[in-house]
Amino acid sequence: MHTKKPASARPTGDHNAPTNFVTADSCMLRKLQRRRSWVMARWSVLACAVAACTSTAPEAGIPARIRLLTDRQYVNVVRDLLGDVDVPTLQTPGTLPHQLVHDAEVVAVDASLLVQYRVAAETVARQVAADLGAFACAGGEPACTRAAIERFASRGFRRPLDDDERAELHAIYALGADGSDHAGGIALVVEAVLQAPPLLYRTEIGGDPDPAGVARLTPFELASAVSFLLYDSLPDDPLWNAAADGTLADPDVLATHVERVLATPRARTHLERVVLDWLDVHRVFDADKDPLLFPDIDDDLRASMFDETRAFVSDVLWSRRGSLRELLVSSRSFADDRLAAHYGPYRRRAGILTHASVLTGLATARSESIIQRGLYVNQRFLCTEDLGRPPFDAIAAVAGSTFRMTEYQFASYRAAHVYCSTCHRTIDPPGLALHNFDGVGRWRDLVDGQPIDPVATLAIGDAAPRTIDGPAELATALAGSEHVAACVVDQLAHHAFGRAVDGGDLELSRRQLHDRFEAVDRDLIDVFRAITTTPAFRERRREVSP
Amino acid sequence: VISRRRFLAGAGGAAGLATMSGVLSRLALSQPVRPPTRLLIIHKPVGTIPEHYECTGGERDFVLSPILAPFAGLRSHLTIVDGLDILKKDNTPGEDHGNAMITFMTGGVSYKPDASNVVTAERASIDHVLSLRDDVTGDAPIRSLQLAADVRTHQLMARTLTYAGRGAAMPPEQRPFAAYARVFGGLADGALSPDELARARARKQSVLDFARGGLDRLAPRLGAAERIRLERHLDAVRELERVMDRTLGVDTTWLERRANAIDPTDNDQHADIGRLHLDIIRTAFECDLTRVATFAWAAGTTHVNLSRLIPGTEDVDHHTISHGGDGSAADQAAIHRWYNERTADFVQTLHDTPDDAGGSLLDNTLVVMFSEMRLGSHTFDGIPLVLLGGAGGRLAGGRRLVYDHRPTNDLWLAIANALGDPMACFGDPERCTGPLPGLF
Repeated sequence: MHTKKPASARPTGDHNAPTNFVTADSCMLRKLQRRRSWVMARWSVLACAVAACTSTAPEAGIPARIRLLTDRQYVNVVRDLLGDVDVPTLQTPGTLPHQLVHDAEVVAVDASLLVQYRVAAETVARQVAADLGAFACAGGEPACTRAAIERFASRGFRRPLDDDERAELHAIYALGADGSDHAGGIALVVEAVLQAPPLLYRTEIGGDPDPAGVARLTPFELASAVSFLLYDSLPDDPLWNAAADGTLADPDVLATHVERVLATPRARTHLERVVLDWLDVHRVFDADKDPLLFPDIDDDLRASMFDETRAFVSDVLWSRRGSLRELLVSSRSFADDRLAAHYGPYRRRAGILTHASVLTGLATARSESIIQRGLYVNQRFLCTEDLGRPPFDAIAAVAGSTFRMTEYQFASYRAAHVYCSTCHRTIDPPGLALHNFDGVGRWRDLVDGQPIDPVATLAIGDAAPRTIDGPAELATALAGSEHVAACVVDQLAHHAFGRAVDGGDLELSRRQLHDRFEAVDRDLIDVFRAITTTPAFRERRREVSP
Repeated sequence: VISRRRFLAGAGGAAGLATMSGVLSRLALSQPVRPPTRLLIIHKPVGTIPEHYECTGGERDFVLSPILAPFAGLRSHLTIVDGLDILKKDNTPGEDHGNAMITFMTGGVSYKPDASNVVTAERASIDHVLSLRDDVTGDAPIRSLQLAADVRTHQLMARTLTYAGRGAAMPPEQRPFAAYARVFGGLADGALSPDELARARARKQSVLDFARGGLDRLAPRLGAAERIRLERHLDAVRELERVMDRTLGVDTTWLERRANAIDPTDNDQHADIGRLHLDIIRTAFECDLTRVATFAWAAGTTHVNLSRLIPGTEDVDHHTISHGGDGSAADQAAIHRWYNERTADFVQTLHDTPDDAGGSLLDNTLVVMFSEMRLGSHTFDGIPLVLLGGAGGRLAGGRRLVYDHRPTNDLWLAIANALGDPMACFGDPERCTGPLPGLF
């Protein structure tokens, strides 16, 4: 449940004062608030039912906005426009390459990013000048050149050009051509278009608003919304044509295009990538491993781990009807020989949480991490509110006695400690259930000569805490939970809309997505289909002028 | 190395350009009364080893510790500041390293908007606050510059030093070529004739004008919040124009060659990557392209493995070593000393570079070097911190100052006041007890 933390919830302890009590209390306070917000939310649903709300009750919705292309989208757009050119790597400040969510309002173009676009645009322009392709135009024949420039720029802007843009681009061509250098003119046009705001920003502004200030996206904006959601790039020709003749405004036509695009290999590859980003599988490549303890972990083995999970996700999405349950519990194996040897003969499989890729990422250089595994499950499947950091004084106070403890001993210590347990009884249980896996995802029955006891008490959402014994029970418990299903949908919707959906202003769209997810047996692919039918996808709120 | 004189020669060669006239009149008319003062903040991750770090002796006759020994040659420009605490607050969003970096740089706490998973800062950082002052920035086109040798971390807060305000992170550029292009604008090419330069400048201007037109056409259709984003974009366009004017025809090919030769993803080129960034900063100071910069050797949660650069140290990343307790103290001390050797080598080049406005570049620079914690086990009282340089004749070196648990906010307050900002408190008032006495 989403909680707006009032300022008073923040601990205000003086740093010099003993803060154990303050911080422990503040954690409990957060939990109490979470609980209260849940009650409020349930109450509002109940109130809504009493008032006989229909499914058409409006939501506050998303304001008209612009969304900066992600780095991956920029590269895709350039290649869709110009073929297989070499595009220098971009790194938008504040983002990471495999980030699931790009919150639209927190990214702005600053000089350091603008310079990156310039370097990319200049690099690509040089390549185009050397190999003109569609811009060849018999050394600059004017009508052909005009048409080529307009087609290039309008496709890049995902809409027809206006008169000013057309005139400015032809002036830029003339300046670059400087008389008769056709390639020079084209290169300068390419440079300008690849740094132009209408290329860099997706607009979600809509046409004329209704009296309530709600505007439907224009057909061209809809075409982009679909193509960026499913291809991570520009509209393809059929989408462009349906936008140009206006038919895309018809929900049935839009749905037909969504089905068509969903069936393409390109969309499938992209959606696999989204799921892999959600599950943070790339972490396997970054996780430090102590070479003395894990001499076998090299880049090839990491790649095998990643490939196994990618093949598994692909199988779940396209051969198991996108089933969230299969993702969590399926024991189908896609390990190559190297990875199979790494797992050894005693492998136990229970879905994504038992993959070496995930388990290797959720560990320190020297050991598995109950806390990292626990946080992962809490964040990605339970949508647990951020519990904050433990008090430093408390860490310092226990560091002497916990330093030489094993992971399991330390977890037991946290569970028994009156302050630590306030939060760690929420954080640790999934990690405990996975404790039979070591820091690189191998099964073991003993740790330091002691048998492992992977029993934990887990509370999922607002359900009563239950005992789970080992990874298979953990996976089954998660797979059976409506709370987990809603949490997963919220994250995919957050990805799609570029903003969180649990803030109360998108409740109608959110409820549609949750209900439909339950109705389709929790098909992850259907979430993307369903997203395109929500008001949050099709409508924007406009500021009403005073 | 480029000098202002050579820069003038480049500018003179392009004097036919209308766009250059502003620069020339600036240089002709406004001979500054005092040379510009530059601020460079350097971050070095994961604390120190006090037994190998703390110096003995008094304010003037102190004996340099093994970790600080690399600064021996710069002793008269060195001010050691002991006894400062980062008053990090418990239970703020995000992890410790990033939180301590935020509290050190902004004097405040971290911030996580409800609609985002990304943790940033509540307040603007000191470098940003000072860079907004005209008497600090002058007409240097780049308000402030953020570079880092290594940024491997999933946490934005652990690799960011600069914030423009609540939620507005300005993370550093790590890739050498991008850092070079950021500062030298794309037209720094000593090989072009004035005529060719003029044409190149006009072509680049047409690209920027088209971007400006695009922003103008978008703005009326959007609400106030979105227009602010477009305004920031427009500011960036303006900055690029000014950088281009100031670097037109300046020969920085020696830097460009180095930037192109470095593999930014190679852990073992860590020293070279860092040095290139520092050389870019020095050259930017020299040409008055910027007066405020931050440089981080690595993220707070550093992933740099130094075992092949410092033979004998353990073959794991520096962050893991920092959690190794007593057993890793010797390795940690060796790493901190290694970083100080590299930093001292660079600071020596500031000393060896004359500032055309008078004195050496080091005389007119204030370098603040810090780590975000004291011990790798996450303690924040008594962080390692040294100042280098004369800060434009304001700071006397050769001193070791020992304070009794003063918040780092007070250091920034003293520095801000010395640089002409009359602020009464930096950061959260609760972390502010007054400017650090006896510093300037």
